[in-house]
Amino acid sequence: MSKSEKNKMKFLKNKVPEFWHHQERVAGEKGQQYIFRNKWILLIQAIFGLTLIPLAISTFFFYENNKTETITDLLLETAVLSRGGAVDVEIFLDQYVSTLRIISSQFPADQFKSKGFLNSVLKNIKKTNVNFSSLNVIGKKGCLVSCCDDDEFLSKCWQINLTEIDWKKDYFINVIVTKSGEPHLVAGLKLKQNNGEVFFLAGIINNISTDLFLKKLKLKDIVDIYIMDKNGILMTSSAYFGKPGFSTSFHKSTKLPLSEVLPNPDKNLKGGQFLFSGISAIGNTDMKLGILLSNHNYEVFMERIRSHILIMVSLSALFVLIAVLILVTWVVNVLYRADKLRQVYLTKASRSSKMASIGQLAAGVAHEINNPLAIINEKAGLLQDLFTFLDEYKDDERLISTVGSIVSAVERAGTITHRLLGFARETDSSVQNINVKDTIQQVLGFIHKEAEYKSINIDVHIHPYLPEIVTDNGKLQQILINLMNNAIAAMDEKGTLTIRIKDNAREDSIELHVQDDGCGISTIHQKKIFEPFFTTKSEIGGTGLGLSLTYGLIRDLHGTLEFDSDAGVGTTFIITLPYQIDEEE
Amino acid sequence: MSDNNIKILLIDDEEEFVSTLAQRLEFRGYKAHAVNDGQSGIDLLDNESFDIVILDLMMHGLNGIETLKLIKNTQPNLPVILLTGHGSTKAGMEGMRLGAADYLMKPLDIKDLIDRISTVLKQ
Repeated sequence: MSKSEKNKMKFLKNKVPEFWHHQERVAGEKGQQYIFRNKWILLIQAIFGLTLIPLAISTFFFYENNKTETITDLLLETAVLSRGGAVDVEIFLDQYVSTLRIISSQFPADQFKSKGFLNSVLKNIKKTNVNFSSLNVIGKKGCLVSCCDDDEFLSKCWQINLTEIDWKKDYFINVIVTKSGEPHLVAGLKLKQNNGEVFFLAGIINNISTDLFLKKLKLKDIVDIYIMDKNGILMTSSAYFGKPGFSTSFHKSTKLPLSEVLPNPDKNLKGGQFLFSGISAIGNTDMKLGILLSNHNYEVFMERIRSHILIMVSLSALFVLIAVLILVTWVVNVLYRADKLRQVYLTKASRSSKMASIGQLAAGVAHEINNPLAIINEKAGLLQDLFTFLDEYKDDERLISTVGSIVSAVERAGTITHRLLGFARETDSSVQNINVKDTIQQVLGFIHKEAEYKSINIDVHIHPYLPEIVTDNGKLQQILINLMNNAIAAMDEKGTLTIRIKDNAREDSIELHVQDDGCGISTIHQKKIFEPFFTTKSEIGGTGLGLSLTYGLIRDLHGTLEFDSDAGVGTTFIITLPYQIDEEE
Repeated sequence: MSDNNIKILLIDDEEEFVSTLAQRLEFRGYKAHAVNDGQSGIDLLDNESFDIVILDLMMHGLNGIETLKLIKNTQPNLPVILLTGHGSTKAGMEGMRLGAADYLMKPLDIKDLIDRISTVLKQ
């Protein structure tokens, strides 16, 4: 692995939260479990999932709102487009009426009834306007009065389609459909003879020219354009509704201009699944112009909206995910630390409770043993007195020595019971202002011979501005003697005993460190060292009471005792003592 | 005062202990009288005079402190040395506050007891 890769791995390792690799056994589960990591994953999933729900709902409503607005806009656009188309058609038709108006102004009205005259006029008109296919004269009730040679076949059509001519108006524009289904536009101008008789001069306009004109109106997105009468019957062919004469969906009572969405289920027309329909009235006629627009613009617009939504939702989700990751990691880390702290406190409380129980038990046992010991002591003492004071035994050294051994053993047992009782005792305090530096010097005076014997170097580091503390000097001496004796015993020759005293002003306390570089305490023994009678020095006379007594003494001084030890490296005992003992406690 | 004239009253509910201690003191020339409860000791003191009382603190019935108070009520100048089987010096100190001359912890060192008796009587 290269140096940069190593640095990268180190960086990533620092970024991993504290709880990530924590494992412990869980009831009902096999093996070690990553409980905090699992909680973290569960929380991430739950919170991220929950935060995505409102995001999804708001996105849905945003999309639907945009869809509705887009359709509304496009319907309005379709209506405007159809209205524009209707105006164009109106202008297109007006030109034929104007042509008829010019012709009629040049000749007397009676002449138009003559078939020959009509043929002559049509011939002249076609020279300038090729779209006129014939000229006819229509009398009242729509009956054909006269016509050009080519258009006799239309006579029946006139009857059918022109009966509804409004004679009050001076012109009309309408559509007739031949039997073969071909639509023809008809423009008629009202003429009045000298005798007052009224008739219409009607010009039939070639249907090809109409279709061509409508094709011109077919803009890019218009997929169909058609003309229908006031009842919604097609007058021109429609790609959507069919041939002329077919009915459309338009109803004559509908207000115009009209725009609506029509389905295009079979996709008969290119334009998507639905089409936008617009219908407008053609001015000065009863006809309507209809157009159908493809949904291309709608699709383009909606595609843009979808892209925007996708970007917006992705960014929001990413932001939420990052926020959730940071928040949940922080929360789980806090929980993990709290749990760790709780375990430390539980361990301390458990140890404290255990020590208190052991202390009570030891005191009870010691007290019960002490009374029989006192009797044994007195009885042995009496025997010793008898052997000493009565002449018959006083020369028997063996008896006197035996009884002396008993008294000595009782004395030793008594010392142990007193120590045991002392472990749990409520001692009388001799609290006074002391300088811990002086206390250290006094203690070093006791132990320096032992240290010199093993060539042990003693380093003392004392905080330069260490305050005086109010405590029991005798107990503190005893504590330090016990710990220093243990340290010296743990070290081989030429070891170093370090005494360090720190001021912990923030907590109104001082810290005394007694450190050795001796054999250390094995992990198994670390859990037991404060228990009475636990010793690793039984062969050299250790009673196993030293540390338990020290523990009790420190507790009397309202202090704490902790230690840090590595087998083969050494041990540090850390005593924390308050500046002042609260005597009411 | 010679040892032969010193009368000691021993009050302790441990009969074996107190009778043996009485014998040992008699070996050393004292006139020792042992009783096994506080009330008996009080009664005896009403009828007989003693130079010093050795009193155990932990007894059934009247305990050591109660007995001490009764003794001090009637004979405030009678010296009392307390015995305690408990490792704590607190009870002994409490007794001294109530007028006891000294206290000792069991098991006793006879030499220590005699030294204390002598010291107390000298005072």
